[in-house]
Amino acid sequence: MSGHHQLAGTTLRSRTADAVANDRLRTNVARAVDRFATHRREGLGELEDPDGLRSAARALKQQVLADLPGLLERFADQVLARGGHVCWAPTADDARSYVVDVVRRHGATRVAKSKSMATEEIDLNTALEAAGAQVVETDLGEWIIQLADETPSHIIAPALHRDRHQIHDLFVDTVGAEPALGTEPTELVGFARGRLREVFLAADVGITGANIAVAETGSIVLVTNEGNGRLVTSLPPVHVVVLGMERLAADWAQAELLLALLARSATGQRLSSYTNIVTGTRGDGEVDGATELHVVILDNGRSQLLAGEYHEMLACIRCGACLNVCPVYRQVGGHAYGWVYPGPMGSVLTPLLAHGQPEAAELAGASTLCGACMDACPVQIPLQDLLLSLRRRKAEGAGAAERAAWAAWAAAWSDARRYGATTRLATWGRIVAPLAGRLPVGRSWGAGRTVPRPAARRFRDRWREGM
Amino acid sequence: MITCVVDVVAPEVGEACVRVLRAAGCDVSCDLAQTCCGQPAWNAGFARDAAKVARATLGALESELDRGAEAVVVPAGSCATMVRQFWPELFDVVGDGDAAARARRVGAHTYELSELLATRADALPPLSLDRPVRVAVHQSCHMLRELRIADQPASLLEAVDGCAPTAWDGADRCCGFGGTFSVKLPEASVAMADEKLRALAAVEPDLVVGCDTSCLMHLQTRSDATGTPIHVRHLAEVLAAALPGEAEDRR
Amino acid sequence: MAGRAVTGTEHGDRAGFLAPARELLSGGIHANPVHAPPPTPLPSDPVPEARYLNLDPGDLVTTFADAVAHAEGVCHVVEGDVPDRLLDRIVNELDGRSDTSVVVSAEPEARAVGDRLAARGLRVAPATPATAAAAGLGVTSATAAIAATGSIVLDSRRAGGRVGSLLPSVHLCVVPVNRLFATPAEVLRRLGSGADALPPSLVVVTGPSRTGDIEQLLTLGAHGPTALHVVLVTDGQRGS
Repeated sequence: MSGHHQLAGTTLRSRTADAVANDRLRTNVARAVDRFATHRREGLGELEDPDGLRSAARALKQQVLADLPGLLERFADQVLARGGHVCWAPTADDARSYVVDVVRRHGATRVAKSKSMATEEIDLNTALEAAGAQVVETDLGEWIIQLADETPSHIIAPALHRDRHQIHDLFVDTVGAEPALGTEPTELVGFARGRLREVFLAADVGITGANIAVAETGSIVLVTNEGNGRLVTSLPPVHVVVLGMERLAADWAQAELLLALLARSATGQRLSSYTNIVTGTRGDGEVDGATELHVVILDNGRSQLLAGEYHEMLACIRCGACLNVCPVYRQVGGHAYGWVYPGPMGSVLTPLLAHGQPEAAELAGASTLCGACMDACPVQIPLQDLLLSLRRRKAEGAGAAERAAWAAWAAAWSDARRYGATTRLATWGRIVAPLAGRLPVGRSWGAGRTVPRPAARRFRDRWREGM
Repeated sequence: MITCVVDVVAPEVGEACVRVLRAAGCDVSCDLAQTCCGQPAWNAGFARDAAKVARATLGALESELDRGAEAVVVPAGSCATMVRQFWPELFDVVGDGDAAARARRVGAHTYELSELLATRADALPPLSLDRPVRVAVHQSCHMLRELRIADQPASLLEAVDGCAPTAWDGADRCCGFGGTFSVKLPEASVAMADEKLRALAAVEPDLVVGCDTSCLMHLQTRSDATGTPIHVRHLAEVLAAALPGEAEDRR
Repeated sequence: MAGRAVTGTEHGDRAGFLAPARELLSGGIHANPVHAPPPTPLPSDPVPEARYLNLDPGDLVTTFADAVAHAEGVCHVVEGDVPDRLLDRIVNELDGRSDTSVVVSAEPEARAVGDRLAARGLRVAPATPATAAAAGLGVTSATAAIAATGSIVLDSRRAGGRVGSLLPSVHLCVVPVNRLFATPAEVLRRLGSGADALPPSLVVVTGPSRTGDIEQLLTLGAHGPTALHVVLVTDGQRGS
């Protein structure tokens, strides 16, 4: 497994086939998502009318998106007024260049990162390393996959595909842990705490994402359980935020409602251990905090989604609830999705944001359209409808064979007589059913399942005969 | 509405459906100009092809309503969902506003079988099986999450003397069929079926009952291939077997 | 903010960045036909507040204490002042550990506890990155406590910084009951609307640091404190 996403050069089918053949992975994934999903139900169960709150959250996100340019201006002005620098980054390259420039200007070699999917999306770490910086991920799960040179398999629990023995061995192999280190979670976490404490204290630059950016006050809200978000924003003298342009709330009333739903949807907690609100730089008389703040506002394809069929996907608050209820994700884990964002939200975002990668389009097929994700989403994104839209978009570029097959089907079945003729053939097909196994479609079905046989007399035959 | 799967692969489900509806005091008609609801192409993203096919069925169902039918009954949750939830969007997407309006009218009169029967439960005669049967109900995704039909199948079965629906892990989790998903990502599809089959094995039901033949067929054919077959029945078949005058329940 | 008049600098092209968004939004927004969004609220409509089934509005203290425990913290409800027996217990627990020093924030409640601990022979210093990194205990107060979630709210301006509650493995927070609010909304929704600008760091802390990254098993003390003790000081009357 390489540290780079597997989208290019592989197919969704090959990635999912590999994943389901990995029993250990499936066990780990099922255990993780079941726990999250159960806790989510319990957490939301403590709220009166959680569906009403979800509906209100959907509505407020609609308001934010409708007013996004104005809110971004307000947010930026507030950040500037508090002494923070703002970079408008239309492309991934603009964002990378700016951050690399900041790091270079400080002669920085040690960068501590708090988990940020936006930075993964633009592959920021590679650019920083090329510029001579040593980048250490500080979220425990992210550190684990960084050491393993892997990509995250879940947006809340990036290393859930690894169990304690695998993590122990990784620490021994890559960062010199004593083989005698136990495999109890407390020992593994204790080891990581010690190592990463050194990183926090020595870092020149801290880089984070943001869960919510509040326009009213120019604040960044960073939610973590581990405390690495606080450490990365308190100890290094320079703090860089990479912010997806859509992650805004207009004011604190909106931000508070989102926070009321975020932790409960993700892990079932009432609130995460640390809801960290950063506004501007270190205050006079304060002993810590960054003295220099940079907020990089990233577009990278998001603005193109506004107002169109995929508009509502921009409401996503990256909670992971959809992953935890997805029956497909459950079987294949995150790597099968091939890119930064897995599960239902990844099946929608990957074709939309991974522009220029033709393999991205088939992600829309990584779903049975069961709808469980829509029921779980705290902002009620109509994921199923977005997937269907993406499938229509993909079908426009479909190959001649597939188009011809559907056209032939439609020609036959758009008329009762032709439908009758072709389905009568199917009943003759009872005799030749074994031959159907030779067709690609038949092979795909038949590898692991018996092939159903058409009935000798169809329902309509029996109806005609009198029922 | 017959649905193509029932018509071609499981006509006995259609027959059972007719018998049960008549036992509930309904007059049943069936316009054979219908073909299919178009869902396979719709889900695959081929809206124009889906609309062509759906129009034929739309016309047939519309004629029924014009001739005085009060309800369109569908022995398949996903097809009922297609007609009620997705037909208007389908026709709008292909620019046929007229068909979209007609679809809204038809959709307003369309019911999945258990949904309709539950409202006429009192009209049914006493139902009983001649042997106690342990039943695990599989809840199909579209009717559960789109049409919000959750309790009706189980409550109809509970009213059958001798029938004991039993709870099981992940009863409402997708079986992995998903239309073309089953052949485009077959390994994942089979893995999803296996998870359901493992959960079923833990409760050892006599029958696995559902309202969508596609789901049941997917689970059945996988179980047959692994050598530990389950026995599936459509809800209509169980109810029909429980009608007075039936000689035996079919095992 | 006192003494800080420096504005940040802007990079890139603001208008150019926002132009595509403005263009697309000017044409009206696509509405999902199958699962339609709820009607857009009017600007005058308030954003609804969550109501918490575990909140007893008549007994915020018990709600808070239960919620702190639920979040794996420890809550001590005391009357009047931090009791001697609690301080003695802390001294005993710290004794024999390699990191026996204590750091305190700039808040008067924390300083007061610090003085009493120093009188008992512990090394007590104001919290800085250097002192806090070597300390076993950090003592702070809080600008607010939240009953429904069992949270404390730390204000870097009040505390003079952040590390006191972050680096030591035990965090002791002393907060008077008159700063106990019922819900997060009561604290968070008034941010920005008051006369005071937000402090550089405002953290809503709910329990100690934790991770589930090892087999989704809860392990405390990932990077922040392993233990959180909250001392809620009442004036003898339960409730706010």
